[in-house]
Amino acid sequence: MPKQSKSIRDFSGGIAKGVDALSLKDNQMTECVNFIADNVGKLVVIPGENLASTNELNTELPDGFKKNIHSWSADFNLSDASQTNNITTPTAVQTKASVRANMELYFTPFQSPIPGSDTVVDWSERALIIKDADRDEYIVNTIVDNPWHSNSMQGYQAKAPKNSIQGLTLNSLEKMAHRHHLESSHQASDYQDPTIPWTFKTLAGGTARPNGSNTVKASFGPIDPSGVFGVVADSIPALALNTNNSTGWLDADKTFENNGAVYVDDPSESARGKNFSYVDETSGTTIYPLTQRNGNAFKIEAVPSGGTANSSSNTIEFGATAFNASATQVDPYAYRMIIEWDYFGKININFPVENVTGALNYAHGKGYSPVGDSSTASPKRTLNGTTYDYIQLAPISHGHNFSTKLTKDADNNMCQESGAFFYMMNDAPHFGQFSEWEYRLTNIPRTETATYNVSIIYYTNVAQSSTTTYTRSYETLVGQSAMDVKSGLFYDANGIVEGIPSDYQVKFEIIDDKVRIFQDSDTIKAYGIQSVTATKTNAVSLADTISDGQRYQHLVAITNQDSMATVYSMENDVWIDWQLDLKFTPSQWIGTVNVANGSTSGTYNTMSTSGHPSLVGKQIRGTGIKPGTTITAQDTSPSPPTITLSQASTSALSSAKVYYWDVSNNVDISYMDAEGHLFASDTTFKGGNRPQWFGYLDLNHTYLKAQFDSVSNDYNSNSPQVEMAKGFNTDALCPQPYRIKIANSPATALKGQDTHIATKVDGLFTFKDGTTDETIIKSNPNFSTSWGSHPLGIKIQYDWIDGQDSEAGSIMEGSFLKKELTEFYFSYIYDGGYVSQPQQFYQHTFDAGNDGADSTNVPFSTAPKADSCSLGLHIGIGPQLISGKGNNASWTGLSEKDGVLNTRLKGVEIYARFTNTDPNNIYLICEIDLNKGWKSFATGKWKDFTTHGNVSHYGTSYTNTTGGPVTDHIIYKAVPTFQSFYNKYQLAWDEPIGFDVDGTGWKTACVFNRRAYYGNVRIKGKDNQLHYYPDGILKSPLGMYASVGESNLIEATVNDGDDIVALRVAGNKLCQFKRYSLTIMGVKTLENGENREEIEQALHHVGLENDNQICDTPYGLFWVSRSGIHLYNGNDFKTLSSNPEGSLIDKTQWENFYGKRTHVGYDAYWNQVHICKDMISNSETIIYSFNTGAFTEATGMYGGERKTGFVTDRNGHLMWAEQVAQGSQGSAVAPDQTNKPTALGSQIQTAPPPVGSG
Amino acid sequence: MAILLKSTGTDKKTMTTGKIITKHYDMGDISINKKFNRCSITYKMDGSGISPLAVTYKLDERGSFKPFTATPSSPFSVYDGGARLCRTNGRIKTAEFDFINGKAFGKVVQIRIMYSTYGMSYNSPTGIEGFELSDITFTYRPINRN
Repeated sequence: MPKQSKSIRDFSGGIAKGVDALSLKDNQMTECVNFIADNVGKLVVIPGENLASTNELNTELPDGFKKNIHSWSADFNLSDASQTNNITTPTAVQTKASVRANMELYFTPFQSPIPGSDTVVDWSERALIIKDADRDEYIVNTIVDNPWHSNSMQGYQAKAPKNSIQGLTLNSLEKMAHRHHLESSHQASDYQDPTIPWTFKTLAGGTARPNGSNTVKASFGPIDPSGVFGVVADSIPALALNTNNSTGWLDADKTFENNGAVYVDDPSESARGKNFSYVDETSGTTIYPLTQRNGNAFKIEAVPSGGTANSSSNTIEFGATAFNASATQVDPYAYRMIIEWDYFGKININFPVENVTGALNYAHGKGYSPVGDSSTASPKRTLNGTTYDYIQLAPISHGHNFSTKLTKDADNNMCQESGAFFYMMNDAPHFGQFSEWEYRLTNIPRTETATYNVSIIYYTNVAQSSTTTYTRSYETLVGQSAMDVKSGLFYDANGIVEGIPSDYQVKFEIIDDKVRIFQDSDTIKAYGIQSVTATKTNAVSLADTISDGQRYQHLVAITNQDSMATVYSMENDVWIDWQLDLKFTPSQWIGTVNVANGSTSGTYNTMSTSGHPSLVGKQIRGTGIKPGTTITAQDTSPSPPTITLSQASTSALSSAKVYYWDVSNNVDISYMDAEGHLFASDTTFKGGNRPQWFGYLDLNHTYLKAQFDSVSNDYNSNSPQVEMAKGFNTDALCPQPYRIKIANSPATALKGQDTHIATKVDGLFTFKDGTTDETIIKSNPNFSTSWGSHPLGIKIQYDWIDGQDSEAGSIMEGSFLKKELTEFYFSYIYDGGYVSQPQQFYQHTFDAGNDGADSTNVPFSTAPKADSCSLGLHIGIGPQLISGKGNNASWTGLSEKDGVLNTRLKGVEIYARFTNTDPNNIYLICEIDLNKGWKSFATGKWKDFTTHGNVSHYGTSYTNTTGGPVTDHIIYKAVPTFQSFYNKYQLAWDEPIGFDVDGTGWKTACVFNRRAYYGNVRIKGKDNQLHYYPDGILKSPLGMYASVGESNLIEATVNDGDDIVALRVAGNKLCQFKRYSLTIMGVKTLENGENREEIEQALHHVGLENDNQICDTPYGLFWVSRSGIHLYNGNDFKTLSSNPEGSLIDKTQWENFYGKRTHVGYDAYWNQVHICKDMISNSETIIYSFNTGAFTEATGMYGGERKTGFVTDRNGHLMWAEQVAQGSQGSAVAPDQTNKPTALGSQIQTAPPPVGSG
Repeated sequence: MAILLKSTGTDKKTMTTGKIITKHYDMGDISINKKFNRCSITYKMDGSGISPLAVTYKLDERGSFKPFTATPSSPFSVYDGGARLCRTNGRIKTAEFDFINGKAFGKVVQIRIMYSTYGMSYNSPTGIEGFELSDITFTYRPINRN
């Protein structure tokens, strides 16, 4: 039967393990490791890895198995000028010199039995083959006649077969290549054709042509004889393997050129011609090659495995074919020299195999043959539409002498017209200088505009004496990235720079942080690129003036040790130098120490516990301790015990409390982001930890642009009150309003008062001039010093306008009845979407006992003394509701963690409970916004606060002299039941709200439709006790992401021996993943704007071990479970790992692969999901390509000591944090727990408690 | 210890380990004995010189994978401690390998392309960059049906 062929051109089926290899489809593979079927018909190498952060962070990762990394975006700039980063100005560097190429020259000392028969060895010629190693092409492939031969020409002057080659100078080789060596012989003129555009230059960059004494860079090492010629024999040993003249060639410790020893190979022992001595025929003496040839710069070495002694399997590529198996000289060998030299221009010389007579040739047909034309009579070759004839240049009877003659072909290229050689154009006809440059730009400031310029100067002649400059520029806009610049400068189709003539065309390729700029063989006149210049001009920084909408950051939060996390900015390539600390109360302190300023050694004043574990090596923190400081030694034997620090203290430590980073506090953290804010929770609910918030605050614009950080707010000479103007901050996710009973010392007029009290002020609102004209209502708040607001508090002055008390006779008609017992409440509204549980205003009763300390503040209710009256309110807020200087440990009720009081406060809501009308709800009576002012249902629009010179508070209406319409004042004539707390937040007002105490939190969370869903939660319940709901989901109100309560708990499936592992959204479905099941809930938005979740489907055996095993993709949720690999897009569920039409993952393999630390991530750039087996020294990765639906395997990826899960970076790539040894990369950024985002170091511990105005 | 952030890149990985093992190709009829002559692999790879990608085959699931013979006329097939693919400077090339003469009879054939420096004498850069496999072609002659 005839031969047949079968081609497999599609590997898109990927791996199909667990199936008999016979049963697979042709496009499936049994194994595929580190290659991936990423497109139909192609199998390619898997993606590589890059470093993302310039600097390392001096901390550790927890050893848990959860994701512990989260990426999100915000509109604000996170920067740290002190850190080095990858924001750069553009540079251009030459990565490949423009005038250098790698060539390989092959020589054989002996030649094949041409012109005789195979059975006669005729040592007449040597082979010369020149290969352009850059392009893996052979540009010269011929033989050189041996002058020994009686019929030889005299052109080649060397008299010895080997050393005439060994140690040849470049000049000699050049002559060989150019045939210049025949200049002094007959037909010399044939070889002096000046049109030969092949010129060598010295490598030193000079312009002189090389000569016999030039130094030329060459390699000398084990070489491959068979880049083309596939040799299987091994009879010619490698140089380095033989030690002396009796067994081999060269001493392994010696080199051919510079060793003074003479290598003698006894021909009688092995007549393979591998001796380096020879007998001069003319003199009959043995001649040894000289050493130190050419300054030891040019070397020729033996090709190992150059032939075989076995004639039956001889596949010798150089030299003779054995004429019989027992012949002594059957193994000719070859030398190969790898040399770098300079060349440019167009080379059209190619000597293909001589095969015109059908006789065997020296190279066994290993040279070029005319493609598609096996004719030996007149072979032709068509290239670029031109047909070239192979010309038999001389009768075969000429043998292989250099009786050649040059002429020109149709392209005016040099041709050889005589001799037994052929010529043709090369496959890639143009050789060039192929210089390469890189335009490098990693990252640019996003807050500036600038013009980026690039100039490319390319040579326009072969001598490189003329150039042309091509310039481009690109103007950036605010917010653009380095990739925008690169793609703005290099935008052309097909990667070819338009505007440069095609003769000199320059290509480009954008790769990550650089652009390759180069010429290659497609360039007709690739004379090289002289230079590329990259500049940036007209840079204008707009950091301080750009609007919020123009700012953005891609941020990454990474869990650290000791229940902390650090945030990194991708745009600015900086780590924030403080940490989110989930430990609400600092723990693990080593004691108090005394260390002199600038010293590393000190003593313990007290130790936290006796016999605590050695703290040597642990990082510590505390005032006066440099970030990253560790304890290097401690000795408890002396009294007092001594301590030695790794870095000198920055201030004197006197009985200073020092904390250490404790691995026992390591926890897995679950992150969620909403509207630019980050929420972080300890998933282990460790006691002492509570969820944290991280986000951007601008405290410069509160209270109607009155700046807290300015001297203008110099209250009580305690300035500035707030040190942070704007920036990123961290805070408890669910903070509580600062509320205290004001101390009696230092003495103030407010001593003994609660910060939040309501006081009845008789005659608060009266008709002006004794009328009942509601257009001239006077407000008469009491501004005596003891009636003003506490700077950190709120004071309600209220009065029933019932004609009683001092305003007798001035009843304002309304619907309030005497039985309407009324209570007042306040709730704080925080940035990030948290509303505190309403607290009741107290009634204050002053008691002079203990200098006012015996005063009482108690909840109360009030009622009018007459029916059909109205309620009037004047609400004042203190000017320091947001206050503090960083370390407020000395302030009542605060820990040192509280950098600023009420940090994220953005408003206050005042409620009232009208027990007669609706005792079950509280109703909004006034809203306070620190930016907008105040608003009530009685007054309508937002109004500015008023101030009064006597007291330092901002109040609602104050018109005690002129009077104003009733609508200027908070005067309710009827019970304002417009909006209850429940209606506004869907939360019970009398139950705890949020994760506001230690030990609370969630294990998974997601955001959908501007609501947060928290799964597997621990929260304070109605009974004020902590409750754990492993099956529970808490849903937040619209936009109030941190405001959840037990009253809005959703439990889709309970008591099923399982707990919630992950919450995700696919389409409009909320997906609740447990370990063994997936419950899909449809989320419907009702007419009133509320969401309702309804169970639509429950899938069993597709659960997760942790939230690290699921990722979002454009195709839906992708996750791995014990049962396989799954995809759900909101409508359809697929198990990808058991696709009979494509990739399959063997069950046994999957069982070995899948574990608790198996995790996944979606790479949007490659459109792949990478599934890692482990987070610790990962050994195996499975990659799924959405392009083909195929799986493949990979080793050596993500194999660091420890890593987090995956997030997707701003370019769509997978990003992860990896634990490395210190000093691995860049500078070490040491997180500083004492560096409060709101504090300046010098002011720590100096801020006194706030005081009321006296 | 310290933490670094890493990311996947736009470049492919420089590969220093890996392999592809195909299915058992029966050329459409598993019942036919065949004499396999040649295997042509079309691919590309950055750089020049011999790569550590060794090409071996197995017939009828017999024994271990055997090395091919590098076809002399094929510029990109090489024998260096085993039949190997040469680097192609990023251009699509075809390397041809011969089955061991006289012994390549079988019904099905399986190919393995594997990164292996074992036995290599060529001092080549070891990493594989820019590899793309386009197709594998077998030349064979149907012999008989058992």
